[in-house]
Amino acid sequence: MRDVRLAPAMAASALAGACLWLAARTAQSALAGAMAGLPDWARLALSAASEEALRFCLALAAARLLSRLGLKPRWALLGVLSSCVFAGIEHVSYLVAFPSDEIYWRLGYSGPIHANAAALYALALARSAAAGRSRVAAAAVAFAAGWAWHALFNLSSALWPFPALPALGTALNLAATACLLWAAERIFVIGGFLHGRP
Amino acid sequence: MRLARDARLGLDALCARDALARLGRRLAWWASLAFLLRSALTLASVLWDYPELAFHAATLLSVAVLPGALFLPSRGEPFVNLIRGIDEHTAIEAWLGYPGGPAEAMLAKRAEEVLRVRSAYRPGRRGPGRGLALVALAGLICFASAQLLSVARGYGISLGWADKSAAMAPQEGTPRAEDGSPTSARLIPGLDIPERESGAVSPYRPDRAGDQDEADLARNPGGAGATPGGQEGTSQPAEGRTGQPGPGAEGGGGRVSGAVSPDGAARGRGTGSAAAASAPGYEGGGASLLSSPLVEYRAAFQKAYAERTGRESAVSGELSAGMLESALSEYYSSFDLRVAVDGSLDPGLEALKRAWLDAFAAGGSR
Repeated sequence: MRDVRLAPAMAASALAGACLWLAARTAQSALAGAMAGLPDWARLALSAASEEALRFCLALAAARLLSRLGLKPRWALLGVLSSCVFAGIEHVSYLVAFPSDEIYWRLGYSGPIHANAAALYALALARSAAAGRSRVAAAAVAFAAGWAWHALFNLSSALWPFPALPALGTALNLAATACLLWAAERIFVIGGFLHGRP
Repeated sequence: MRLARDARLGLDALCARDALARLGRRLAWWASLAFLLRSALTLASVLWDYPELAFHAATLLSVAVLPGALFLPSRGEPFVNLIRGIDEHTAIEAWLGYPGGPAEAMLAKRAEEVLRVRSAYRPGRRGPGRGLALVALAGLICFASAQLLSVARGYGISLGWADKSAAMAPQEGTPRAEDGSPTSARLIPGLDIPERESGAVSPYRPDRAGDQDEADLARNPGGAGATPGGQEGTSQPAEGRTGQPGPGAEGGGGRVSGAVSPDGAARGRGTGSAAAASAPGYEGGGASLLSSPLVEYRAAFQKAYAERTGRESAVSGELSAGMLESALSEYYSSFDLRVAVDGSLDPGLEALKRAWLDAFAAGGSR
């Protein structure tokens, strides 16, 4: 298995994140007419589903590309950087629409949702490939978890907001990030050598 | 075959320490780069005018990529490097690489022994590295430069986007000459005048609306918050943020919101806050009492100067006694002397002078 050059890989990931944002905007615009008559909670859930579906497609494409090029599976984690760029562009679009200091709460409440989902997809796809199991079950569970988390946060902020929600959401997101970081370490750094032996 | 529990815990502790050290390095890189970017943006905002939105957008983007930095894939094999650092005889590697067979028990025993002994192993602390140190140094230089320039230009300490409204406010209120250029004439060239005196809350206005303001302020001698209604809504938020009058306070009728100058400069002729004034020369009471009568003379001089010349001026409180005396004597010098020097007399002015002399000649010169 080969390593890759870091700078071009990061640039490609950032570009992929920008394209992902454009695709998500296009998809949501296209779906807006179809979702017009739906209740708010359904529209929010479907909006989250469209974003997560696109993110999952990107993770699948990255896993397939790495496998085909004979690169180490850990490079799938660059999908997190793509999602960070996606989140960053989304933050800026919100800043332009709603210029306020409150926008900085999005860094803890909204941004990590994207990053965590991307990390989860990369880990699930790599784990299932390493264990030789079918990717379908692991992929389905990961996608369901990512979408549920995203939809829950969207619904909470739109329909059931309360003063402590931004701080609570930030804390939950950071806890999830810490767990995913440790899982990435086990699977991509230690597991790559131990093959899951410990 | 699994390792014994204590050996497994030792291996986990080693891995955790290694992972935390790696995450710490990435965090340091991200923090240094984000600090450099923010400092550079602050410096740029001090030097040039660019939209505040761009500053916040760049800040948001720089923080948003933090998870990407933490999850960045490692190059090489950090775990192998860690194991080789504590396992000179490759006991652990032999166990890890063994696919399973009759030698497994022996290999596991040797690996456990090494892990029990070396589980407290801590790799030598490495410095931050030259690249990281350079980035951090560049960030510090940018930050220090931004603060120095910001303070030098009168914007104060700028930890984020430099707010220039405080420094711009006096210029907006400064009367302009006929050619449109600011004419903030200082009586003493080169003398630094504190911002508060130089116009930020200066009540001296060449327009006549200022008289009404003074009367309004005089009716409410409480000082702070004496802004008449109608202007409060626009001026209060700006003051709350910067401690300086906001744009609303500077525009329109030239209202002076917020604190009235404690030197009583807001008082006008005959309308001073002197509901209780009874003796000649006494104006004001309570908090508006003057610490020195000279301040009042300076205020009167500045006001009259601004009204007559259309140019705002301010006399520093640190003016030397000699210079102040010459300025005052210049202003209060004999009317006759000034008129006599001038060759061409205005008939109207001459009539006024005559009437003045008729009315007050018996009382002597004032």
